[in-house]
Amino acid sequence: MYQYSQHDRRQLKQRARQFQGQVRRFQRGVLHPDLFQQLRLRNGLYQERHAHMLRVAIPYGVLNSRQLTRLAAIARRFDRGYGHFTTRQNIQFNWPQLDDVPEILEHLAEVGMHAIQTSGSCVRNITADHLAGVAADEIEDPRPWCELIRQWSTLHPEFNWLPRKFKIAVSGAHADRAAVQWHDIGLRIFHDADGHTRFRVYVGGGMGRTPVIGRVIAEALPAADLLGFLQAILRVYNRYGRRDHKYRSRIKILVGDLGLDGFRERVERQWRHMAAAAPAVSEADIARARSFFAVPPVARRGGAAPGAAGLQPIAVADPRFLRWREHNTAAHRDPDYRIVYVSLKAPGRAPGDLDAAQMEQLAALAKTRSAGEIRVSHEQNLALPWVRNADLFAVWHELNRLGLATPNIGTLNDMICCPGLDYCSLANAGTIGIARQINRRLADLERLYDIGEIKLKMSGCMNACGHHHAGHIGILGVDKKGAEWYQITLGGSAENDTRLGARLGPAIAREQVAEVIEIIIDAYLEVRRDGEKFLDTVIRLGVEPFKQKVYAHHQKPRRHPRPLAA
Amino acid sequence: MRIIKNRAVIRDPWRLEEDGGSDAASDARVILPLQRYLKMRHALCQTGRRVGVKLRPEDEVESIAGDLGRIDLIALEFGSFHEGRGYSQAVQLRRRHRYDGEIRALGAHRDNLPLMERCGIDAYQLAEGENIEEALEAFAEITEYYSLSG
Repeated sequence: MYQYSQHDRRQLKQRARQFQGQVRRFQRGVLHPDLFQQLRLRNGLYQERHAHMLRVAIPYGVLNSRQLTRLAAIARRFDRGYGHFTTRQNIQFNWPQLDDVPEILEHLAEVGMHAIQTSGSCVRNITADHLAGVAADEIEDPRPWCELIRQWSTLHPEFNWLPRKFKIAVSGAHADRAAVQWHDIGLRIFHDADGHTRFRVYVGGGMGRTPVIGRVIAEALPAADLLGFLQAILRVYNRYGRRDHKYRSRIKILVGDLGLDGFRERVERQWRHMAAAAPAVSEADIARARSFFAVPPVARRGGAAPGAAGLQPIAVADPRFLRWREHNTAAHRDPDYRIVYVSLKAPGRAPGDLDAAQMEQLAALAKTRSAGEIRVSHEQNLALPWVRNADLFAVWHELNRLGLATPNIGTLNDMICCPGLDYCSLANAGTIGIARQINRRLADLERLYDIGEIKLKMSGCMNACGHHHAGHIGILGVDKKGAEWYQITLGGSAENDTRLGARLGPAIAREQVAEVIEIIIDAYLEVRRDGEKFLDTVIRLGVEPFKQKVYAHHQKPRRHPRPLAA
Repeated sequence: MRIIKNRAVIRDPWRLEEDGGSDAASDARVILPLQRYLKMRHALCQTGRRVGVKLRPEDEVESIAGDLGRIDLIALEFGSFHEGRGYSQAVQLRRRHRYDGEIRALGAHRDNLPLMERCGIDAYQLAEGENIEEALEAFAEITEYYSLSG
């Protein structure tokens, strides 16, 4: 993975010290609270419902054991002993004291981590396919490109005060696992007929209260032009994006106002004007970036790896292990290895949460069994990318002991969930309690396996941090006169077939959400064709049959004493 | 009035003309709002007088692109600390149009000075409430930047 040089580390230390000065000036009353707010956001620090929240970047989802161990130490010393992994490959600490934050940033800097630009109206953490470099279906590893984009966007002087936040995601595989079309800019790497790296560039995607799916602005951008073209897009957005209204200021609105062609025309004009002044990616730049992401030495050694058949007899005989292997591991590009998912969706736990002891022991496990690497997925799970087949049984054992082997990856219970009303000051409704409710009602694993792949995504407000628009089943918490209600959408997707979910009908009362999910599932099981996934059934039939089942007995919900819907 | 220029505090030799102000043609060193400049441009051209021009965030740099050879100073208005358009205006002036006169930020905040400087702004009239001597410290806070980051 990318190794921080003296230069990188010095920048992080200077930035931490700069923030310390800003905190002091704020506390002395010299720095205006409105300005301090913007400066702390650009260092990942929010003021939340109960306390501050610090959002730390995990660029393109890559962590090493040392970093995860450090995150554990921070969770213990400055938080209440846990952290929360988000949908954008960040980790959030929910209880730090303002005075401690500069020190936390210094601890992070020591292991090459930071919270720079994880918030605020600037280019946010660059996200990527969490299986980058190991996926069986990969065309090209996106991480070197992500690292170049990270360097380009870090403390970029021109784009620190954009109209709104700006998110970039990169995928280099046949299957999009980075939700690229839901980003302000999404990049898909492919190779042209001559084998040269090219980018399909999507622009103007985003969730929030106006969900828009990104559209193609460049079909086959040459690799050398990548940063220059990004700069041209950002400049057009910075110059012409609306600044008069918070909810009209994302790039998707500008692209909508100008039309895709009109927007493209401005970008291309800007691009022509930049000409020689544009940042170009040289062969040397990319070669250097690639050198950081070679196969880890420990994985290169080969040796005793007995291949796919290398499971010990004891493993083959254990049905719990085999079930876990089937659901929680994925094909590796090297057949001697498997990718192991670490489920952060154990029933009863807030999705995406991990406590300090788990972090430490997982870091130790990764060190001995996964080349010291851990990945963070936007679906709020972790993955061990370099596990030998021969080590799978031992890894399962250890994950089981840590409570991280719930074999539910890809099932309904593997849901995305924002922190919701329990933590977030923006939220209108709770999400963690709803997750628990659904977990309890649909707890039987065999039943979940029969139901098959369903991506359930839940947000506690319109900001859509829980990606509800892109859920096969989406749940959005809304506030109605002080009560928590939930809108259901069906048929969203964040993959190759990116789609926006359709509203099922009126919102559902808090205590009935799980029941309604079960009605939807039962309706699906009734009508599905052989081997048809939930999403395909919804696409085939639309929401109507599901709507009828859910609202069948509640035609006049508002007059109902304990309404299912209102 | 005191301003920062090239990281030093100096007394400002320029006078900022407000929109709709009186005839400025006789002043020695005056910064004209873009619209007034455009109106007076022909006359200024004939006398060979050199002036400064003030751009609002929504003004196009291109509107004075042909005149840059006789404009000594371009003042960019930053109405609030989160106004971001001036950064792009400055970059466009320096990189695309190769402008080498003074680019001045009006209403600059201490914590934005390093960003402004990296965009090619070299003079700063600080926002109200900023301490000019303390503001100078901002430039040295970060010395390490990625070469790709502009």
